[in-house]
Amino acid sequence: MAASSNQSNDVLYPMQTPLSRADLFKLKGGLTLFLIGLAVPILLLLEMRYVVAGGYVAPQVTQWPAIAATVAMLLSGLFTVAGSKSAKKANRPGIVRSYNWAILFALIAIILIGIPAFNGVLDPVSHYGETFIPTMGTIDVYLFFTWIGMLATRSRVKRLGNKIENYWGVYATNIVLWFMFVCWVVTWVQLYYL
Amino acid sequence: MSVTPGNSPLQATGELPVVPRRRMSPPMKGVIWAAIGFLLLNSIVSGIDPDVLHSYVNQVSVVFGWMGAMVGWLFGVGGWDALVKPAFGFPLKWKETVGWRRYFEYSTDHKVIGIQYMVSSGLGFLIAGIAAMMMRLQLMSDHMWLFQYSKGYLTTVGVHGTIMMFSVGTVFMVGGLGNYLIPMMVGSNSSAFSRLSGISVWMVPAGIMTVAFSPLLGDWTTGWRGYQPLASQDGDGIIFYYLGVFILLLSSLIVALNLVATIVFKRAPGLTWNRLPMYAWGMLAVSFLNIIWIPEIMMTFILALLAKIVPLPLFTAVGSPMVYLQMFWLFGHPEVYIVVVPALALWMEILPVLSKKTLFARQWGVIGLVFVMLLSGMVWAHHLFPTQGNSTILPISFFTEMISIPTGFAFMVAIGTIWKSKFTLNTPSLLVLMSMFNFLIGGLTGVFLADPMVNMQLHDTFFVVGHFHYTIIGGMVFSSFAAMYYYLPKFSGRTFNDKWGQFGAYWIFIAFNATFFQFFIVGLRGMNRWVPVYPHYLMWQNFEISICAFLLGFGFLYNIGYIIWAWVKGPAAEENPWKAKTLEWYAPSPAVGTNFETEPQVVNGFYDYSDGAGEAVVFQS
Amino acid sequence: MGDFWGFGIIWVVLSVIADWIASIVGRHFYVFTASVQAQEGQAAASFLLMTVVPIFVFVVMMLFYALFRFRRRKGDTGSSTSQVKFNKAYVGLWVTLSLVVNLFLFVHPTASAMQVYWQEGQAYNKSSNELIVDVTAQQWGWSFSYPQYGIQESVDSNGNDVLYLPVDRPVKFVLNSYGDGDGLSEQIDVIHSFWIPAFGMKTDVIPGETRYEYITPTVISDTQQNGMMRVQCAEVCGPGHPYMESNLHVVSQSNFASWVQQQLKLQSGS
Ligand code: HEM
Ligand SMILES: [Cu+2]
Ligand SMILES: [Cu+2]
Repeated sequence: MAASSNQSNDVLYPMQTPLSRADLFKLKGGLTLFLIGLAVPILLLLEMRYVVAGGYVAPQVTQWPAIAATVAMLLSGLFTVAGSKSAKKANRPGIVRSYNWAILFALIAIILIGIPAFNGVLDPVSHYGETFIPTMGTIDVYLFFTWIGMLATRSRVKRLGNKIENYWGVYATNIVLWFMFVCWVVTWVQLYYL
Repeated sequence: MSVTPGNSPLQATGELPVVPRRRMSPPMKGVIWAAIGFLLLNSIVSGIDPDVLHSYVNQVSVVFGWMGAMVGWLFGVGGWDALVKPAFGFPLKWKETVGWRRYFEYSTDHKVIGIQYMVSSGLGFLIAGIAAMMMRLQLMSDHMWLFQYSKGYLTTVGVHGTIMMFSVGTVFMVGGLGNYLIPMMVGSNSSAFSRLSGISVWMVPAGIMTVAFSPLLGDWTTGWRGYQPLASQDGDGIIFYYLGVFILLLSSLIVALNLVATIVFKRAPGLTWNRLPMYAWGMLAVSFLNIIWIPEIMMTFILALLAKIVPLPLFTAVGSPMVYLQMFWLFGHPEVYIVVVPALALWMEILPVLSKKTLFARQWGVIGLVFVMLLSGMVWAHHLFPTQGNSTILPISFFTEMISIPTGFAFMVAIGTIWKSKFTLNTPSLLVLMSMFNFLIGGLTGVFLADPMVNMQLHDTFFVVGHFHYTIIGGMVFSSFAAMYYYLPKFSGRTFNDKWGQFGAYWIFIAFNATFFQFFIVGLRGMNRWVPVYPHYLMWQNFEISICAFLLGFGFLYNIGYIIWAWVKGPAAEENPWKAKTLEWYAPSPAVGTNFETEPQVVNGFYDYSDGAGEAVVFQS
Repeated sequence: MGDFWGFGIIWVVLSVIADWIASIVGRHFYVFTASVQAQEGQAAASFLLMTVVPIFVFVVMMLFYALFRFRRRKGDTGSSTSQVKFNKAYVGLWVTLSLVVNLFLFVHPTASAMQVYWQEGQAYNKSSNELIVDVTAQQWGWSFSYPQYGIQESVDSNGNDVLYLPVDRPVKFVLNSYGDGDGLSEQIDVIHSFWIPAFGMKTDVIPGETRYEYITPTVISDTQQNGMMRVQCAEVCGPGHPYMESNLHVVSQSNFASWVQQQLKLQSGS
């Protein structure tokens, strides 16, 4: 295949070309940079909470959704891991099955995280509330985009079928979801307990 | 679903795809989709808003409406067909066209994207330049005459500063020149994430328009820094300031990810770190700054937006206004290095070529760029000398003075390279020298500002305005013009007439210095910032500054016009008119289509001009 | 070697001349100084000017050398004869010098001038002679009160807020932003900056915080006589920012005393 710089031949379609080691290295590196960038706002928010509200934790903050969300995200993460395992064996139906569950649990997590932020228990005009709500909201937005990514991955695996030459998309989705899990746990522990 | 999975849209040949059937021009489609997106989301949010007193377009609905518009625009202009649908596994129907149409649609060619970035950025320069001219027009007199109310003037200041910083300063040399040159410079045929890059460029015009039209929502008076708590009680136009800057920064963030990955992972064989071109080093340093600080300020702007529309009391409560200021300058100072580091790198790129002399002390040039990057996160609070408490003044002042050392290395390298060279005096090299001169003044006046005691007098006066225009226009804009003349043969295969080029260079140099050197003086005489009216004793000088500023404005127009003319109609250029050794000059001029038919192999450094030095690049076939 | 010495000699000569000019021009850096603090800042600034001028001359001379001395002659297409890639002495000297100059400037005038200013503040606070002026910034105006004299808000004959100061007497400005300061009120005021150009000093006024500024005026003058003698808000604070200024009068001690009496009479009369 001639290397046209228009690239319409070899770049525009993900997952359809075999990846060399160098390609894979590049993709992993790019993803790492991206995640570093994504972590910065979370760090900023956590820091701002101490600046604005100190170590105070509002007693009325709703506990159960946070715990439940952690469980849901964990389950979702386990299913994406299973997806990656299936991808290693090029077991496409396996990937789709795992992703069905992973997508469901991620959706549940999104809703659960939204509850304590928006159920009106916290006063947004209090120091704790004004940092709690944007922080949880940011996590939720992140998670929402991750969720769309999961939908895309699943749909891609399903539609491209045996044209698939590499499963980087599946691995990457798994990595991003676990990154989100870490972000969430850090945020949760910090906002609820520290 | 009738599409068979994996129905490959690919053409078997490697030729440029031709225009398929007639279709609506993508930007047109983008605009229509954007309008639909806006109406849809604005109506939904307006509709479910419990507050019946709200008007149809209110603070909250306009934010969602804008998001709808942005998604509509990016999807319509190509994101939907070329990015989203393939991501979900639908077959790709998008084909790139040829000719001038390429520049008006989604593309994955880094050269097309680079030019799209440059043109969008140039558009921002024109819009913000008109704003500057309006400000100078008002300042010709000590009372209101052009603007009716001072808030109109202050909005203009904000629009000028915001568009200049976020769509010109941050974008032109990074998203524009960087995207165009870096893949070629590292010997690659494409950038690392070309599909993302193709969509990010369309965020720039959208962001510029958002900021430019912000006065529609209401005047805002904070200037480009959006200081709290003023911003929270300001007119609603500030909402578009946050949103516009947000999308512009998102674009720059994607550029940064793309450039780092390209430089790190797509280098041709033999292109070791020791041989990496200076401009690539500059882009690397800048992109790291971007990856860290852009998300920081984006988050800050979201918080500020929430503080405005919810409203959260984040920055109004006692003690917290300073939080916003700190968060802003934490980004704000790295930002100014994001603007100038590319310029410093460009000097080191161009000077050895045009003086046919080996780049002097190359490793120190690199060290300088890297240390500027590292230190720039430690000096933010020098923007707050009169604002902060006493205890932090001295440490911050210390780092501020120290950062002049690595910045100075760029001068050391440039001077060492010029010394005893055979310096080809032409438009680009002249502009580099001018840029050095201007940036020197910018830097040395910074020494005064870094001294807290003196800063207490100069802060928030026109002295500061002079200082940063010297660094940004003097450093970055002059270097950008140097780059445009230098790379014109690469862009277009045509060249310019050196006489007319030098004429333009002298024009802007003289007008620039006449204008902005007087900013220092008028500031020392007591002219403070953000004022359309001022004490009468300053009027004469302001009048005359404005005249110089108009000359400068026309000078920029002349140069832009001349470059465009030469681009289209100029005399044909040689393949490698400057006899440069860097990889981009091994690609065809004008650079259209494939950069390198066969993979280049780097066997030597690029900046060695001694007689025995062999070719830097070989192509094995 | 010829270029080296030639350059060096010209540089020394030009630097001496330029520094001589700088020593004269530098004295007027602050344009008009009317306080002890402005004179200190002025001294620091002219010291800085003298320091940076030789650096300026060095680089600019080099640019001119590129333009004239090292310029490629017509028809010459070869590479440069000199191809030095590195020069230990030059780089070493450059790095050392820039480090030394910067450290030096940090010690003097940066740290020293700040130290002097802070010590003045402490000394003023101890002195019984100190005049305290409470300054309140509010969108968009200044008000001044003199707690030691019982003046709640000083005004001129037109009813505008005005600042009167006696010459040669240390003043402590207590800077506050207007507002009830309960911490959650949305109506809280914004950041302003208290600046008197002729005094060479400005301090931001932050809502919810109290800031201090110490000044000893040294020149009898007022806003009508010199435009730099004015109280000016220097931080953008909304549409009224350009108009946020007040008149300033620095008067003799005896005139100040009679002004105080007149203010008190005005206050009780109204
Ligand atoms: C034609 C040339 C230009 C002229 C005559 C000009 C003039 C001005 C003036 C009069 C101000 C207002 C100062 C104040 O009252 O605070 C200003 C502010 C500013 N300018 Fe320019 N300018 C020019 C080009 C540029 C360029 C090229 C940039 C950056 C790329 C730039 C960046 C800024 C910024 C960041 C501000 C601060 C705005 C604020 O306070 O929010 N300017 N300029
Ligand atoms: Cu003010
Ligand atoms: Cu103000």
